[in-house]
Amino acid sequence: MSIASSRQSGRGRGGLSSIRFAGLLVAGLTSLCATVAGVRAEDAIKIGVITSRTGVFALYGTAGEQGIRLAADEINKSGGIKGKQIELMLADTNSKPEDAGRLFREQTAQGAFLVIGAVASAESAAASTLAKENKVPFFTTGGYGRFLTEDAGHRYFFRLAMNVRGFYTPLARELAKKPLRKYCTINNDYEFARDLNRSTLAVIREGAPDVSVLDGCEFWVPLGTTDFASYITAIMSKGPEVVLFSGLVGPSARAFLAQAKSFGLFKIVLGAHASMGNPANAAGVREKDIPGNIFTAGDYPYPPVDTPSNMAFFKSYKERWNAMPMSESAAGYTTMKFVAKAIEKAGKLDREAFIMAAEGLDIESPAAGRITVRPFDHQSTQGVWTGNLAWDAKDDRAGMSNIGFVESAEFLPSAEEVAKLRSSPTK
Amino acid sequence: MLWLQFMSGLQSAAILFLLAAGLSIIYGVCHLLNIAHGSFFMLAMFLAYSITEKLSSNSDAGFLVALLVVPLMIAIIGILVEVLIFRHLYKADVLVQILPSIGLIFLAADLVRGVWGLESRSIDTPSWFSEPVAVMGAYIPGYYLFIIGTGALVSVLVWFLVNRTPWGLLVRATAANRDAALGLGVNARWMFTSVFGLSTWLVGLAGVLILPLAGANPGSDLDASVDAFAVVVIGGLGSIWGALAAALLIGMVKAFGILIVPQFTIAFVFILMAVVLLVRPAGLFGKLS
Repeated sequence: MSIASSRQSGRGRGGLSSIRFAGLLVAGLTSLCATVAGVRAEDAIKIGVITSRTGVFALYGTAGEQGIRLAADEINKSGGIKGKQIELMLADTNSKPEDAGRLFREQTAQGAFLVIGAVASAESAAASTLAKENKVPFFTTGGYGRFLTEDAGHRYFFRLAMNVRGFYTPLARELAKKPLRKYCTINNDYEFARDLNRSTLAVIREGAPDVSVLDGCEFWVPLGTTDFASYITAIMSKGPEVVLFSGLVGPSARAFLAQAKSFGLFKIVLGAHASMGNPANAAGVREKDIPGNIFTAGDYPYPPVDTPSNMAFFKSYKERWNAMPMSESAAGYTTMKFVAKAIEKAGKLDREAFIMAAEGLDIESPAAGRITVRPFDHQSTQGVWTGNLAWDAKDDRAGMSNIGFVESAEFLPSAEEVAKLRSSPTK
Repeated sequence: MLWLQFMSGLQSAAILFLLAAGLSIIYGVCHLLNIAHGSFFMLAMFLAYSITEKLSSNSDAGFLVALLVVPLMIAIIGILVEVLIFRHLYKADVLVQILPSIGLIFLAADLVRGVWGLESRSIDTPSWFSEPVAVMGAYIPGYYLFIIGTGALVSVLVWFLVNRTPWGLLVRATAANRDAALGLGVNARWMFTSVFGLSTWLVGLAGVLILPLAGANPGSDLDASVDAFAVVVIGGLGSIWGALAAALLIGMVKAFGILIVPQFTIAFVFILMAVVLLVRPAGLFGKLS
């Protein structure tokens, strides 16, 4: 992956003409490296934005950044925050935690009032540590990990996006009600997926203590894996009743479904993926690859939730980016709007005053309606939709059917539980 | 069930062979390490996606067209790259050869980002192969058999080209002793270009074949390059048959490893590589220079 690490869009750092040429071409093709247009006024409010724009989480990060930029543009067009324009500082983490940390430092040093991370959990954790050290607020739009607002949560970390508990808790409770006891698990091998898998099984066992993962039927595949034939035949030879594959993300999830379809795996077992309802996780899934019996959940479901605020967001996002909004897009958009609202409420550019203003403040989320940032853990009350993986013909992509909404009170830990988790740092 | 596992391993092996053979041939004949090999693979997948999904109303017919046309398109791109870039670098230092390859990786990656965006793109499995076929008591998806069959057919074709044609004679002579062959009047310029064309045709075919199962993904270039290098290192740099043997070995070790000791899945290929390199440092069929 050393090749990927040097893939910096448009900077042309090396003195090598071929690389610089490639870099220039990137600039021309994507124009992603351009700083956001806007008046660089002396008194603009600088907001740092770190994005996994390249690397394994590129789709997720880019969606988050686009949501943030859309909201910032809207705020600036309608007069800014108390007359001051927002100036976004954009940077690419390459999906690497160490880069996220470095960029967080750089942006703070360059005068960012706070930093928003359109990044996944590991990068969010790296930035969160620095946020605490430097007393600079940090918001994540794509870091779903529980620990971020729980064990490792602190005064300077905020999450308008959902806590991963929303994905797995309703799903696991539903699974526990079924008379199915023999499980196989297959996931991408990274910390978030390991935690997700462990937690899902723990909740299932609360309701059905005799559920077991079959011997030799727990598979961990590298991120980016698309060859699943041997895994699927191995799973079939073990004879499970349920296959949990929540931790398969990006290209892996789609490839697994397509190949499972070829072998008829889901004709004989029930499938459960906690977040196929997250549009980026279902990207590329074909109508023909969707069996009827995949249980799932999502925080920005397709077909899009039919509320005025979501329809407005959906339309302007599509127009601006020529792309379909994802969960991260909505989270980024909501986060930026929330930040503006909290700065306005604080009345001055002071970080401690900002935090005071942000605690307990509410905001309209495009899909989830009004959500509030809980004062004790800075986690929003974003709820979750559950349903079956299904084809959304109108939007020409995978979505959900039999959709039900679960309020966050059903799955978020209480203030006491959070306090307990934070005082005993055992994960 | 062991039979089913064997067949799934064989399918992986077929793709690995098509993916890696070209990398090995280019090294064997041209002494050039083309680390942008995976980029041709990724480009083939996206091109095949566009042809199947966007340019034709019937996706089956579209796929057939893609299967015939895309490897040729990739071969043409490969030939252009050879003529414009690599031709001038055969005598250069390895490091100098690698730099333009890195440039190519950037170019291809950003081309894909610009044209196809960041989302995975996929096509349906052709409907002729949607039904499983009973082979020796196990139901195997038709498309997997098609991949295995194509892999076998292409292996035979490559064998024929290399061992039974005048062109193959020159290729073998050049691979065996480059300086002597060139000294005896082999037209190196034309030979190297044609080798590049064949190699990129093979990797293009691999990309189209795997598209319905794997989908076209923006990050697949580097993953494919890593896989191809594993095959080439185990098989021996420069040896086509080494690549075939290594692809089969990796496919089988993975398929049965996954069944028997799933906890070590991620390490299989690397353990295999370490063992082979300890016993035969030049790879299974490689020669130490």
